[in-house]
Amino acid sequence: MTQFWADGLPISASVDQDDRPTELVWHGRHRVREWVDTWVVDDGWWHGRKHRTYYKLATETGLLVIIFRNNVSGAWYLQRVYD
Amino acid sequence: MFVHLHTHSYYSLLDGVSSPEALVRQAAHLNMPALALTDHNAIYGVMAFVAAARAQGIKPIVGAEMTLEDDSHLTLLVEAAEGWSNLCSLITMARANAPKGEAALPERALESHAAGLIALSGCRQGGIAQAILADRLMEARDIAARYRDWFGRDNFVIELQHHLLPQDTRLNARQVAIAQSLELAYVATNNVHYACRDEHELQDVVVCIRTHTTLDTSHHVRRPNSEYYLKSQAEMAALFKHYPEAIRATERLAERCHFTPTFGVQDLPASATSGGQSAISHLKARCEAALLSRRLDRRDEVRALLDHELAVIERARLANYFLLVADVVDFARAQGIRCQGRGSAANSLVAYLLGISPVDPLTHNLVFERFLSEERVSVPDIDIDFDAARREEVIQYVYDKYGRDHAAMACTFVTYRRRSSVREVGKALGLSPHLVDDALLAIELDRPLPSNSPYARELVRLSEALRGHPRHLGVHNGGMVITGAPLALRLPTEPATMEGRTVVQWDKEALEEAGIVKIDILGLRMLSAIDEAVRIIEATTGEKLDLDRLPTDDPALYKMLERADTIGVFQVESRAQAQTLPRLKPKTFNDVIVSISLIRPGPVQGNMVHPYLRRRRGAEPVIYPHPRLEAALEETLGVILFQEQVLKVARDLAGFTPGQGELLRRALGAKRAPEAIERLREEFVAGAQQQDVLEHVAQAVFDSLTAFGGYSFPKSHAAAFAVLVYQSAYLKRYHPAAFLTAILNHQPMGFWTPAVVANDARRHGIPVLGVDVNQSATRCTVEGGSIRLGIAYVQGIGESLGQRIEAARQNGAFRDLADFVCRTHIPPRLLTRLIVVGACDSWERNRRKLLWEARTLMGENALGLTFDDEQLDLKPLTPLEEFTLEARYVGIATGPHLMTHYRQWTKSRGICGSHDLAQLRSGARVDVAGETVMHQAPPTAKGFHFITLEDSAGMMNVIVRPRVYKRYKDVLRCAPVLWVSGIVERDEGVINILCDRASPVPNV
Repeated sequence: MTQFWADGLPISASVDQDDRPTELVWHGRHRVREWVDTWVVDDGWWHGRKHRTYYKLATETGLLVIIFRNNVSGAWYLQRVYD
Repeated sequence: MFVHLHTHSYYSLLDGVSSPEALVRQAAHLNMPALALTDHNAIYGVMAFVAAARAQGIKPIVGAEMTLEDDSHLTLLVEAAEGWSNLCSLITMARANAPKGEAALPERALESHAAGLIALSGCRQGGIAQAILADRLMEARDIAARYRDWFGRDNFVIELQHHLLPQDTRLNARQVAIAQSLELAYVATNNVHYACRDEHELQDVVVCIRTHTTLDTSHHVRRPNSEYYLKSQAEMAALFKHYPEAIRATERLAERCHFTPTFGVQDLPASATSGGQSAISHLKARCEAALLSRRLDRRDEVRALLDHELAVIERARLANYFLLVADVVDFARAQGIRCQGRGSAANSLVAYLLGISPVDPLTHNLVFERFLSEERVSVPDIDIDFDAARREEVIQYVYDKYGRDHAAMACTFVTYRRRSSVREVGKALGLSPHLVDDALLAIELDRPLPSNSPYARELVRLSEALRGHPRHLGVHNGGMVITGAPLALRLPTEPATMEGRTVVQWDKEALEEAGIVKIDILGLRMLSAIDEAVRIIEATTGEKLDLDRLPTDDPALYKMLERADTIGVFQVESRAQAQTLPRLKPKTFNDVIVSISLIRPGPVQGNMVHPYLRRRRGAEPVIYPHPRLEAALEETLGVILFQEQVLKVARDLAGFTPGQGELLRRALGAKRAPEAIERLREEFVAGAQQQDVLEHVAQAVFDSLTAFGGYSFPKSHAAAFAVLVYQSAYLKRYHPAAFLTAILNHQPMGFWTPAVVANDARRHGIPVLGVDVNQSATRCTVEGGSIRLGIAYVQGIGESLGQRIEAARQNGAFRDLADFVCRTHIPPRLLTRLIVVGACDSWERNRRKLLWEARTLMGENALGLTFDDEQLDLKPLTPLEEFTLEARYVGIATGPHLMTHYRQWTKSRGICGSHDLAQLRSGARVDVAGETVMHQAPPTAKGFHFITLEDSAGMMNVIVRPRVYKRYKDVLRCAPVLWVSGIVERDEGVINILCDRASPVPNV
């Protein structure tokens, strides 16, 4: 079962000089092996802006996840973990 | 250097949200050397874009994003002139192939229209991108190969976009691979939909408006983020850092595109001339012949002027244009369609000789240069008024003669106003209609929005941002563009809402900017009325009037104008004119020109009216703001009255060239760009100072020009209109029954309601007879010396039913109600209406009885009661009931005036009638009562209200000060019959009552 958090689960992440995540912490540390895709959403401005940069990535620990950064606060969230 | 090659303005209707000017400003801010405009299937904004780009020193590139039949997109840029023609043809094809507002280009059309165009493969909705996203890579490559063959290897370019969307990176990689395998170039674009990032909110809103959705329900159609703005070079370079070539290639493409529509792209169809004559010699021959027939050939100054005009026309290569307009006018005359030119064309002797203009410019001291000169910056349109009822015949003639491929109407852009923008933004935000209404009310009253209203700030901000944006395309009122080469090679056209009409994709301003002349084929109801009056006179008296040869020196006629006995007369019938004419005391045709020019917003706002009138009667000296202005303002006693005088003042005081003067006049008229006016003010003051004019004098003169604005007539236009004033005044003076009948037949027109026109007829001794099914024609007619109202005047009857009744009567008068119903099959509702307005009175039964009979005839005696109808004792309607029903359903009550029903009351209160007002001295207190026939509060009157009351003898003018209006607002607004107390003010034959108390007249 894919696990999904609609508003995201706060996590911590490290980034490289281009602001791309290199490591995330969720039940332990996971180094990023590959950025599969990335995209930006800027929506919902009329009731609370969601300006987020999403990454779909694979970790060296074998996870396939979608995480996002809140571009306003800079905080990282986990949104989806694929089985 | 990076150049944006894919940019939408708000002329991508309800998709882009920035004006071309705003996009150009932002590109300049970002130091971009060039910018392309590529709206969806349109070049609406091209002229504004080119002008703005030139002003900012940016190279404009024109193009469009085409929608193909499979709904895929393709970006086209014009590289060379041939490409412009091809782009116009493709847009025309795509538009003709889809419902209004949409486009569907057959792909094959690209093959034969590729020359001079550079095609970019398009956005995510491009055919290649679509195929790649669907993992059909071979198909993607095939499409690219096909387009490469059609456009050529150098002119088909793979378009890369990166909006930080899922799959963008992969899509670009695959597109680059295809480009490399086919040896095609690739470029980066950003599919710009707004100039700055924060405008993405408005973009979301317009997408909701377009798709009839709300923000909450439109995720599938809206763009998911805010990346579609004019990004800087650095931002674009960062996005495409793996493809630096995509950035570099934009500049190379931009350098190759060197086409912009230039001034005068037009070519007119060659007019048919006899024996292979050139247009100019044909024009000369026609003018010579007219000189002879008008007996003007012996006057040296006429000949000199004609030679001069013809020389200028020849150099401007406009001979063909004159012949073309003359041909339209000749057609109309041959069909008996009354017409005459208006506007600045009346400055031209050639236009007069060709019968286009009714005014001999020499007689009225009109100067040809106002119409056309070597220095003039724009080619003038010729505007012609036609009998409104038959204007469509003229338009169809032009379509038929030149072909639909060569003639189309100018378009207009219907823009968002305050109400419409609040409504639409409110809907997009998902607000309920009543919340939107509340917000609208608050916004209109300039109050803060109710504190509990959701999205109040968003609503105010976004609706303000949307205001002024184009929302859809309309058809210009009569402006036609005609070209020699097929229109599609010059300008795209698209279908208009009205069947049989097509519009070009430029509005009046853009056409003017491009130097494309159009002919304005306008409809004027007064011409219809004059025409009908002349026909009625001939039919009833046998007299054939030739109004076009009327001498303009009839003292009786000027006396009538001075009395302001002008109801129905063109232009001079209004309340404001009635206040002016007795003071102006017109004696000559020129005075008529002055009179209609005085009552315009320009002279009124510029406070020119009273000084002019005082100077005219010698009550104050004629002074000029500066001695240098004497020549320009002498004929108008030192005030600015005519539009041309703006140019003269600018020339004489500040040394403006005609070109600068023209810019000034336009800027003053538009009032849209205060910065432009301020720039001109600086130029004006500087220019004046160079001519040794003191700064404060120059500032004061410029102030008066600004106050005057552009809302005034050119003298030539006023002169053309004055011809109609004189003709209609003549008809009213000598053939009032025919004239007022014709006026009643062409409503709505003019200033007064049909009821006032009818009452005016009665005051001139012409009985007005009610609608009668056994007497009335469909339209109003002259019957003996009376006016008989037409059947179609009864609300709901209309022309076709009226004609049916008239036709049924051909076999003899209707004998009774049953006979009438049987022969006309009139619907019950309308039969009832005819009965209550008295149209069935000829059978001499009271109207209530007729109503009863009608019910029985129509089988509405549903209870099946049997009794002798004749035994019924139904009381007749009271006179006031009859009045009310006739007034409601016909608009004109033919019985005694409403105020006669209040005679007892007015007598008991000592109310003064309109007839007795003349006996009172100025300053006297008076009580008057009458029916409110007009209520005006013109924006120029600073809160004053003007109310016209009418009783059986005439009209009374009531002036209400703002303070008094506030107190009696409800009464003044709502009471149909008013009782007003006030003070009599008399001035030069004008009587006003300055109101200080008002109440409704009680019911009788």
